[in-house]
Amino acid sequence: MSPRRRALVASLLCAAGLAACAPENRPPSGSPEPLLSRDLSPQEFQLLTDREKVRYRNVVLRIPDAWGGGMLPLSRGPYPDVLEKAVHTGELEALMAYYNRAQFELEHPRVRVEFINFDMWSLHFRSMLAVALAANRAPAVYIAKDLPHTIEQGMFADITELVKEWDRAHEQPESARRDGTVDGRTYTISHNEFGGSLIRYRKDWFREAGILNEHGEPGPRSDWTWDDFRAICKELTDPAKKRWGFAGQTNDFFYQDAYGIRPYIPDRSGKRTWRFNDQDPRMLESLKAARAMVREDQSIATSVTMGWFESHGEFDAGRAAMISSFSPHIAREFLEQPDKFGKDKPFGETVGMALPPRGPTGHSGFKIVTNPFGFDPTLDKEQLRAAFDWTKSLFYGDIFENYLRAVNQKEKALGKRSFTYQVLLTTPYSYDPKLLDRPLSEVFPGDYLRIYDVIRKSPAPPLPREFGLREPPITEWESAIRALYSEAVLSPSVDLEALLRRTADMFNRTILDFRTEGDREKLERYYDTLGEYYRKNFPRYYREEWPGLYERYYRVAAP
Amino acid sequence: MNDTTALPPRSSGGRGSGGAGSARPRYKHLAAWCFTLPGLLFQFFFGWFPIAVAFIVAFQRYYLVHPPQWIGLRNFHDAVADPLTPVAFTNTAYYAALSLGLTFLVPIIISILLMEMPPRIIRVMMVLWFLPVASTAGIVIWKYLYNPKLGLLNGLLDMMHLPRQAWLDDPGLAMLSLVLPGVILFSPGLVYIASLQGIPEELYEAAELEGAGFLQKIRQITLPRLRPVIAMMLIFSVIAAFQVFEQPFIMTGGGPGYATLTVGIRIYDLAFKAYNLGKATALAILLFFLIMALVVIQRRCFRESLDE
Repeated sequence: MSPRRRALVASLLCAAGLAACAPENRPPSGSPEPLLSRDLSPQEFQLLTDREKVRYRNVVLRIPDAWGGGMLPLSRGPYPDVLEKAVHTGELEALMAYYNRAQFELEHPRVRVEFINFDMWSLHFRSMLAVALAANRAPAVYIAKDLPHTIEQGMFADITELVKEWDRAHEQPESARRDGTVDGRTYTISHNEFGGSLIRYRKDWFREAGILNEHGEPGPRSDWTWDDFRAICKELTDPAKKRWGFAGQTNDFFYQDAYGIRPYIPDRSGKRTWRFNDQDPRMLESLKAARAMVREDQSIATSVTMGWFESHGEFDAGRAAMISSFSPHIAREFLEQPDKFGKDKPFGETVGMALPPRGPTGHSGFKIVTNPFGFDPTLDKEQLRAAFDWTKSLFYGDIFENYLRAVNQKEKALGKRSFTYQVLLTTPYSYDPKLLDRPLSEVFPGDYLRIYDVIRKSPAPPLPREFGLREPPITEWESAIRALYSEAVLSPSVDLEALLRRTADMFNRTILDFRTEGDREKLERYYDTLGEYYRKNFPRYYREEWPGLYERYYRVAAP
Repeated sequence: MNDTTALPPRSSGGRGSGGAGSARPRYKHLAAWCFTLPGLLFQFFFGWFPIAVAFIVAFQRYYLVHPPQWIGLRNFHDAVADPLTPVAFTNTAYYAALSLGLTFLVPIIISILLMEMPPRIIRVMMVLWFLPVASTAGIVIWKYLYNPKLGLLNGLLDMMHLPRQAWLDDPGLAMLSLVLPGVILFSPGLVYIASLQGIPEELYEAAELEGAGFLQKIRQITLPRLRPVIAMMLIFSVIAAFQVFEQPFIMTGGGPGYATLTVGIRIYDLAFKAYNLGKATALAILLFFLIMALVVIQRRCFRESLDE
């Protein structure tokens, strides 16, 4: 073969390879074809021929993991096809997913729903999403993590207008609305599962130690302070039995949240918007306190390898009296694993949940967590509306109800306790009471319901993003804070003051090295609103601590 | 001078020119292309193409959903000005030094010593070195072996009445703890033993007749014969050590503090946690040039042995 022909063949092969790798283009939602340019009602759509129906249904909606159901079996096995297999093996969730899809498409003649494999709850969600977005293969709707940084990077569609028309937008928790709002525009909606990062504790150990709450039940009091937390940790630690008061990552063990320490404050020099708050002596105190609990009290099991799963493992293995956990998970485990700690230790009598400790003047940093969801910003208007409709239906509409009924019936047939109760306990949206065959008060222990009442009423603090202020990227911020505390807590010898200075310098030169335009005025408005929030929700903290803190650290102009 | 007449004819079979005789070499080329092309395409799409793209992305503010913007050298400036960059490069160099010391030099010594053992022991050792190649699974297990409160290693220290160690939790010990599994999990020992077995026995016998001792035999025969292999393994080891990612990612996440933050981890964090793909790529390119420079220096140092 001549060199020229060889080059030609190679070029053709490369071109063919590149063409094969090109992402599939979404079909245009508008088309010059007369049939496709008209908006048909579901009744009109039914009159089309099959070929016309295929052509007309050209708004593709990529739904992750057969949301509102489950995926059909991957292989047919000895059955004629996977659908038959699902029928004969009782895969009601998978069948319901296809029913939901059919119902949604019936109501939306233009829309074609595609279920795709996309695990939003994976540890590697961030990298998966990055690749999916770059390849134009992202699902239409996905969990919105790392807000507001990801909003600023354009990873979510602006849904302000859709939310304005939404009749049940007000049912979302306040904190969810605030999380997904940047400079007055809305980018996310709240998931139908809300809760909070709180403390999961061993009721039986609290009972043994005689630590009872104001209701006479084993557990910490609802107004317990950080000092109480430290004392209880110490009391429940028993090295001989390999038991620790608390197990968790090398963070500050609730000190900062309890005392209301704000790790970044206005930079009065005006060079940048924020600076690291190393001047507040309580920052150093938090490092000292964490170090003392780990090294002096030895009441905390922590390590550089300790993460969420590891700490839950310590708890389940009976080595930790308390861990940080997510409230809906506790309710779900109560239903699905009633004998997790043995037949003689029913879950509800063994595991309790408590809100994190407060500061000395009643401040609490507890915040509702709602896992907001955002939409692929590359969707066109019609796709976005369809995705929004699907998500609403999934969170509280037909898809939601169909799915719960399928799960209920299946679990009843199998003699299991249905997790439907957990879904209905933790949803912020109102639902048809007929979905419950008995009231939640007959299902869950009283303390679980009480905690959820408190969570439901928890206030949401204002966020800088609502005032047009840029915030440091949350993942980098958290990584840097974790690095700070892990060194403070784990190093055999460390100069905490020098460490804090070093960290402040690093923060100021990297994560906080930016300035929002017109930030002085915005900062003033933000801190005024924050003060108002404290006055309303934590009056004692507002009276005794806020004025001094405001003057020293938060007032924009130097006093 | 034209000496092609001395070469054998290109077409074999004595069929003469033209016709079926000329089709065979063409077919041969086609077969060669068919066998080579999948590999070439694979190398193009997963090797050269990403490198070329990286050199473009490094000069852009790269968004995942919006068109990228050209920003010149800004990413390189940001990467160099980032206070964590020198920390990451220093840690990586420290890891490389430890790794080369323990997993590169030690296996050479052990391999040479092993050659003095009976063949049965050599075979067992080769099997042991080769078995635990599932390094990622191995790293996960090591994470638990190092657990300061419940891990096996501290249990063994307790049994021997030795003080417990914090292992991965101690910033002073963490990096060494990351390297240690490499000594056992997988090392170049197998390659050295295979090379040593290829050295003719007569050379050692002759040296012994001349009165050479053990160390002299190593210096005069073994090491010179091993030089090309050592040079090649050194290049591979340096590249692997500077690209280290799995061990700190799985075992420490770069901590405690920043004690095990390597360049690989920093690139991952920037790309997939902060979604700052431009800066991450700029950092990757800096690492690329550093490794290339080291390899060039090594090639110069070992030129003789590689050209042998």
